[in-house]
Amino acid sequence: MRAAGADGLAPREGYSQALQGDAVLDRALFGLRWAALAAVLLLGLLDQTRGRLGLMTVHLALLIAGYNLLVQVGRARSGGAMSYAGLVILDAAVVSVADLLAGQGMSPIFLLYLPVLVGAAVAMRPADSSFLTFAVGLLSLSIAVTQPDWRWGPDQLEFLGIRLVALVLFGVVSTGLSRQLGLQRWSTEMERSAAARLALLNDLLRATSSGLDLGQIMETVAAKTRRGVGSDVALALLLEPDGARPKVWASGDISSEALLRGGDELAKLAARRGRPLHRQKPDLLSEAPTLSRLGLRSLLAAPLEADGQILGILFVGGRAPDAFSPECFDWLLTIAQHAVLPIRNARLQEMERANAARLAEVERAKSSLLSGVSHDLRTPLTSIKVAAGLLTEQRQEVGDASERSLLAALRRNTERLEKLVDEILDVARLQSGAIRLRPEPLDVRGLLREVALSIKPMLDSRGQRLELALPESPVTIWVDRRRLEQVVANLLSNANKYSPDGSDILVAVDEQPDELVVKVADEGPGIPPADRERIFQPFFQSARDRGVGAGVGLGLAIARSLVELHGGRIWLADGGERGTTVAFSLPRQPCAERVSDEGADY
Amino acid sequence: MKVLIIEDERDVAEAIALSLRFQWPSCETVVAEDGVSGIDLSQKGSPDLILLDLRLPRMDGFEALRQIRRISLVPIVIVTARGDEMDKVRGLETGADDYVTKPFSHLELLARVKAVLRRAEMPPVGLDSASYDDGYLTVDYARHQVLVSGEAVYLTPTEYNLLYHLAKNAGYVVPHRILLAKVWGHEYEEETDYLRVYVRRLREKVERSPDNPEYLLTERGIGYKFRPKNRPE
Repeated sequence: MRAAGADGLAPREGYSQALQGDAVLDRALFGLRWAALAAVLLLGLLDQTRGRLGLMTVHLALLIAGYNLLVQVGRARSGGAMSYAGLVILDAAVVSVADLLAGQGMSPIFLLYLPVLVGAAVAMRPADSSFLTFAVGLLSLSIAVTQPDWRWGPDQLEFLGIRLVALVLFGVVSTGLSRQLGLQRWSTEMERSAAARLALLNDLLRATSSGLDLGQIMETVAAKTRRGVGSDVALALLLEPDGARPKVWASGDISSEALLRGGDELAKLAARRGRPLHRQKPDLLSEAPTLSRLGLRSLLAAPLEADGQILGILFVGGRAPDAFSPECFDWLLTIAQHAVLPIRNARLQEMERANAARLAEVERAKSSLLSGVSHDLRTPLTSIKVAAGLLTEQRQEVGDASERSLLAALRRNTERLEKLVDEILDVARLQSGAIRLRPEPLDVRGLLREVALSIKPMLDSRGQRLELALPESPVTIWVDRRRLEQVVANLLSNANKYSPDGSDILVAVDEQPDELVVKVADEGPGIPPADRERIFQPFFQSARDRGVGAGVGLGLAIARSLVELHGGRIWLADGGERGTTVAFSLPRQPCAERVSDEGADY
Repeated sequence: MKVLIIEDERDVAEAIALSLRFQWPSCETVVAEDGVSGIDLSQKGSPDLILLDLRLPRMDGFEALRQIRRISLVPIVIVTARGDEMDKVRGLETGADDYVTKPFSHLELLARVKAVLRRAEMPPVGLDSASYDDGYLTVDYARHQVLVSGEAVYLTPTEYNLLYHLAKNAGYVVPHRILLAKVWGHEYEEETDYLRVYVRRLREKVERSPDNPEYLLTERGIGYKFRPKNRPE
């Protein structure tokens, strides 16, 4: 069984403890005991002349020799289970009894007090050893004066004086010496342990700040904590932000599954108490029976706390009953403080990743919902469309005017619905990246003329005039014909929708060195400044849309996505006093990546 | 004319049947509501045309298509929803002749059906007497016969037509739109997928190595070119 801190890096409590467990010192103390006993024996033998009393001293000395032997062997066999401080008290009692039995005021037995005082100076705190010195002095004095042969003569007074001075001198000097020695050892130890602690913290920071994931960091923290505190086991527990069951990482010489089960108990405990357990509490173990069964007798806990938020708890456990000193706890807190930053960073990163994944998932779900809805609307639309078409043909001759007008409205609105469903699907597919271009070299002028022709009936119905300002010579670039037609048709249809009857619409092509700019300008009310940024977002409805038989605000969003797929940009140009001018650019050089693989073979 | 309609939506099947009877009042239509009975009826009923929805209960439309094609050359028009462009290409590759996109009007449907029926007929024999022959590949324009290393290769009317238009313009690039208009009809000018699928099929039938074609060359984004070879002599 070993005490935590014996080879851990926490400092000892103080200098007096620094001398404990030192084999050399132990031998010196026992040497002193034997030396004092030898002196007593010698004086007793010399005192043979005084008959019975001298013989008594010799007998007592032999008895104490037996006691010494017993204590020394017992101490050696038990591996220092009995502290020297305890021994000192026993020694004082034994010597006092012997002194009393000696039955002699000026017995040499008093010399045996001296190793007791030295022992007290070494093994006890200064206050305790001073108190013991004082008590022993008083005791030996009163024993001496109560002996039957005591007379208050000058010899006796001198003997008393020598006895007192010797005791006090020994007590003070050995206290001072031991203090000096202890301080030296203590400071050496402090330096060693401070250096080792710094090294461990550095190690911890280095190990945890090299881009590991949260689990790896927690594992490192558990291992380093165990090494740092020198405990038998260490557990690092991470509280989950949403109140889910905490996760535990363990390090120790016990099988890690067993430890993790114990960690689960701690986690439940922490969760039940609602706040972490800061202090060393023996009762912690009573609530974690697995850990008790594993042979742990002490447990220490420190919170992993950053910015007032408790992320987790760090536990150390030892097999010794009082394995951890208060210094151990402070040291554990220090480790926890250093470990918490990498943990927090890793957790933030993890949360960011999870958030991004969740957002992408939502985006995907939205796209798939949109395309699903658009898909499912097609089947009923087919029925309606065919029925409306067949009815129109059948009633062409026989139906009356109102019937034909109703059928026309049915067809018109079916088409509108179909266009809407198409647009929703386009947006969904553009958002999910499912649309790929099939570029071909094309004279853009021809394409613009074709779209203009197809939209002419709509313009004519409102008396709008379309002017095409096109270059003289062919302007051939690589574009996806169908998609570019869609862009231009969307822009022209907006111009048609928002411009007053009888107004002019202009389509112009501007040839730049590396791109082509197409502008569609109308004489409508223009876009309010507040909406200029958002006009290209899907489902955006400007105030101007109210009351107009507009769609759901997808035309410009689709146009933007398609232009961007071509490697171009789309923007609201400054069209002067009134009206709206939408411009888009198309690169003159086809970009290799934009030509889809799929299109490679046609 | 007998038409098999494999479609689980009764209203859509009814709309198709009505459209067909609008054009051909004597047209006989049979409806199968799932793929399994569709395959069954395609064998028993020996229809002149099949309209096949790709989304079917009990059996995937593609599987039904594959099984019907295994035993029959009947013209098949698949019914898809717009946006499933991969479905369209896959359908053509699996052996469909054409497709209509939901929502379609009766006019669109009839145009496709007419075009498919027209393509199913071989062009009249004997209008053109010349032929292409380089020793390995022979295209006999008069008899509509294609020989590879002296052995007759079976081409569908559409495949033959495509090869014919390319070989007649040997050495020149024929643009997509022109090929589509000549072989499939003007309403197909945008359908470059047809070209891809059929050029692939042709290469598999006439090229030594379909992945490294020697005759049917792609002019990317523009069209295809038939490269003639000198007769080795």
